[in-house]
Amino acid sequence: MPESDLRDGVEAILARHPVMGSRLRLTDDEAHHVQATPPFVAWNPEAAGAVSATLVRRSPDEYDLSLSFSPWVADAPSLRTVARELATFLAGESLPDDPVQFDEFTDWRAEVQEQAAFDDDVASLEWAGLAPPGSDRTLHHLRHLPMEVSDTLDTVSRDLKLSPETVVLAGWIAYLSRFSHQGSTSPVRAATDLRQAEPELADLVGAATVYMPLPLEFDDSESFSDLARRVGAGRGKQVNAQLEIVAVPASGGIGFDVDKPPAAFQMQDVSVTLVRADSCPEPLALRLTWRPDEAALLLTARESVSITPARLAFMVEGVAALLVDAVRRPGQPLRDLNALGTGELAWLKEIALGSPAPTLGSLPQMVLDAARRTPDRPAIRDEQEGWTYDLLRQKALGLAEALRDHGVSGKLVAVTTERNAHTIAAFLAVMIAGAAYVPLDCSMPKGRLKRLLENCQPAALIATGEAPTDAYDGPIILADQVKCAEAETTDRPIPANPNAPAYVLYTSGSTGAPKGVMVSHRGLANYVCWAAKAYGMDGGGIAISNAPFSFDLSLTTTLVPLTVGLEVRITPDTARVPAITADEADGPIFLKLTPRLFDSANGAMPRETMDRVKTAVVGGEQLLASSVAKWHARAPNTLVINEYGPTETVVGSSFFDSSATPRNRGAVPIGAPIAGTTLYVLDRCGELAPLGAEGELYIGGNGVALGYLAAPGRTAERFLPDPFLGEGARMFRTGDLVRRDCDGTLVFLGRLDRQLKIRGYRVDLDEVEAVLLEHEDVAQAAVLAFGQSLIAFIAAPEPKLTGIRRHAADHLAEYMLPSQWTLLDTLPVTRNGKLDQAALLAMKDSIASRRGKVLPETHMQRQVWKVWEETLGHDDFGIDTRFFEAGGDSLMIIQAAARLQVTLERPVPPTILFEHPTIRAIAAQLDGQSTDNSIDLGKDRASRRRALAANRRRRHDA
Amino acid sequence: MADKTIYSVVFNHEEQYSIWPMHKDLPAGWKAEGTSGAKEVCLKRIEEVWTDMRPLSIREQISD
Repeated sequence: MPESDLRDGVEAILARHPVMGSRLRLTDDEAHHVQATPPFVAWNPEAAGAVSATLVRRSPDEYDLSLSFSPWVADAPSLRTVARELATFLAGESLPDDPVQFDEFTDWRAEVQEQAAFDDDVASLEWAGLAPPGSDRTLHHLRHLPMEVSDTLDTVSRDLKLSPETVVLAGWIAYLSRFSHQGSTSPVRAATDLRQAEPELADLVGAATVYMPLPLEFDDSESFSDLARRVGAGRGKQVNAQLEIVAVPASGGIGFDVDKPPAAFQMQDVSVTLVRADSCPEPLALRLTWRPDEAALLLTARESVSITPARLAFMVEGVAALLVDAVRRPGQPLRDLNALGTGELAWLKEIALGSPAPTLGSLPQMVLDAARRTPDRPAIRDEQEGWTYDLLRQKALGLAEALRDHGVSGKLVAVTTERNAHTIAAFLAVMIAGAAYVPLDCSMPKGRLKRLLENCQPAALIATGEAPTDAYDGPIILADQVKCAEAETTDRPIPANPNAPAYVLYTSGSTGAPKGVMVSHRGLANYVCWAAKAYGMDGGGIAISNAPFSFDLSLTTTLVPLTVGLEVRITPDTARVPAITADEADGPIFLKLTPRLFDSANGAMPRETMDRVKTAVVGGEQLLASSVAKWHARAPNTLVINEYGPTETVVGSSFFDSSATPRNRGAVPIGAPIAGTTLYVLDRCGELAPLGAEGELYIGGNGVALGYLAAPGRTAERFLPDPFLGEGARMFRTGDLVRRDCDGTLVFLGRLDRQLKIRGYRVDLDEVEAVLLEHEDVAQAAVLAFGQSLIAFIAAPEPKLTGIRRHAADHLAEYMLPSQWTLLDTLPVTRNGKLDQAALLAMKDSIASRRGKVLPETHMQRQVWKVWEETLGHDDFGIDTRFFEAGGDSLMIIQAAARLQVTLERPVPPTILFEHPTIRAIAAQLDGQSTDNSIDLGKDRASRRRALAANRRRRHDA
Repeated sequence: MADKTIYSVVFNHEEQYSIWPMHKDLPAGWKAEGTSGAKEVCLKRIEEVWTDMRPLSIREQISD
């Protein structure tokens, strides 16, 4: 056959289906096909055409034909029709007249469908730990299942009376369930060919494949067989529902489809074989394609998805591993199935490890050594006095001697936390004496102070200010009354068992009972050695100690710099931005701040001082990229480190150099482990979570604390055997939800118990705050949940909310938008520099009660509330306020009714608003109505067929 | 969701106690104490037996 015949044949067939030559035109709210004028087949690679074709002659009577076209215009089954018609045409047979045209199909479909938008596009992307923007090309990874596995797959499918593709789909769903830590609904959309709906549609060419959500709740105690059965049943239902409910093409969804086996079409002596047909008309982010003929999984990540080829390979290997495991033991609960390929498992174990820690001395020894090296250097300066390193050494040794008289070795010694040099000297003295120190903030409420002292039962107390004689009746040593050790005193060897406790710090527990974390010398030395080096403190300078000494954040700019000869400047007030008076001679400045104080410091500090900040370590709360960007705008040379770590694993367990990777939105990653530390992301079952999956962070290594003082049960619950390090090692369960970026960098997602849902949507308050902070007028922002709505507290120099609210409305999904806004001069901060949530909640309550406002709680109430707000021009009303009392008039009622009509997309007569004067009443009325007015989905097959036939007749008559 | 896992009471060479799911292999360096059951049962047992929370090496050093 001459090549020209074949070309003519292809062009003739494609001309029968002009949709193949169309381009998709997107307008504001819809997409429609615009037909190109034929000829549209480009046979030359340089030529432009809707369909590009190449023809390669393999032998005198054998050709390879390949057609490529935009995925929007046609799906894979279309090519079966093209192939069959081509065979018919080339054999000289006649083709049926008047094939069903794609626009006929869409017209007909429009009549029977109800538009239902699924808001799961972004959710699906987040699901897999991906976020746009990403790579600029589509990535594929193909994985064949081992031969014996594909045989087992067939057997299992037969046993379950399901198709193998359903079993593979169940495997994909089970695999993806590992990505959500708290259980949820499957994000997978499975391809459904709408041609199945009508026999007339069988030969339709066009994009008639839709990717339908298959919402299945996960239950990881369910067996794989049961899940597969549910998937099978769900797909059955889909076929019935597919025509009425049409999912808006989801950019970013996760899909599943099947690449049918090759098909041969024989007409007389002409044979056309369709080898592969791959076309996905929807912009799915990730799509798993099952190729039954070669038992292979093909995973495709569209361009714009931030995924690396390595991670894509991990995912396919993971799905394959899960399928291999699932078909071998289909009765096993999902949680027991392996979802990691060997390569990923090895990589996850490797990336969990921090660099090896150096040989660790004991912290007090390191400080005494520094004092011997540089005795005359300034060591500590507080508001009253400045000490040299030699003086610090003498004070500490003198105090230690006094402590020995009280036989404190192996016991606990409380130290009051006055903001002076004596407090630091006392900490060192306690450790030198072989005891562990307990910082005791005497300004705390008496009852709590009493409970802490009962819990730790110190052998002695060092008062660095006024002695708390009313709270403590044991031996009290007044720090400023103790004689310094003689200058020539040689240091006694410090008892140094690395397992001995160095200090006990109290953290707030969920129960309110005191929770004293016992930190070992090993853990303390590990952090201190690492931090001094990583933060560049070994070259001199001053460290600003701004955090309360009862807060472990304070260690970074107290004990750490003292091991390397830096000067520590103790600021008097911990809740404020440090007023730093430093001159050029002081050298570089080191800061350790909470994110909120970091924000305040930026602006409050003179620019020339900011310029001299060598390292700003931010910790204790989530650091936002916008905060770092704002700092760098004024002081571009500061190394801004995001440090993460619970008290239970000593100050900082992971770090991220936010100067290295500029990211302008959202939170700064928490990074990678510090030396001597391991970080594991584990799933609900305590197994390593796949790369990119949400999981709980567990911390192992040197930093793991000894436990909670006098609380063995609570300790055992959170400090668990470390199955990765072995040798009896323990790991701490943080309760923090994290995930790894493609390169393994850890990203903090929130507390496991802080997540909240608004109307079923997952809302991350941190994200709302981050968006508010992006506005240039917002200095500080805090968002709290109140029932089903959010309240924003904003500190802004300009007392204007309009622009900020517009910005929020522009960048936040409607359900994430705060419904109430409060402007403050500054946000209340606790003594530890963290946001004072209790104070904000109290403020919110008083605001709400003063106005007698009840905020909307249901979706409908919120919609009506928004319409009122737009109409009335203010938000000073609650859901029980009457419209006229809120300043409305009858003209406004008509306006409000019109707006509601637009919002709800259905008729809203103004009489409803007259008859029901409050939001609560209107919403109840409208809610009741919506069920009555719901669109009839029950059109039966016969009527659909009649509609199709009628449509076609209309076209022909026209 | 209630935790239906059955745990064992375990301890390491420093006689530090913890809990571990029964159905999983015990990590290297840990021994079963003998108690198993719901999490609360195991934690209660640990409250009883782990009376001195100092690691064994410290206790031995001090008694020397």
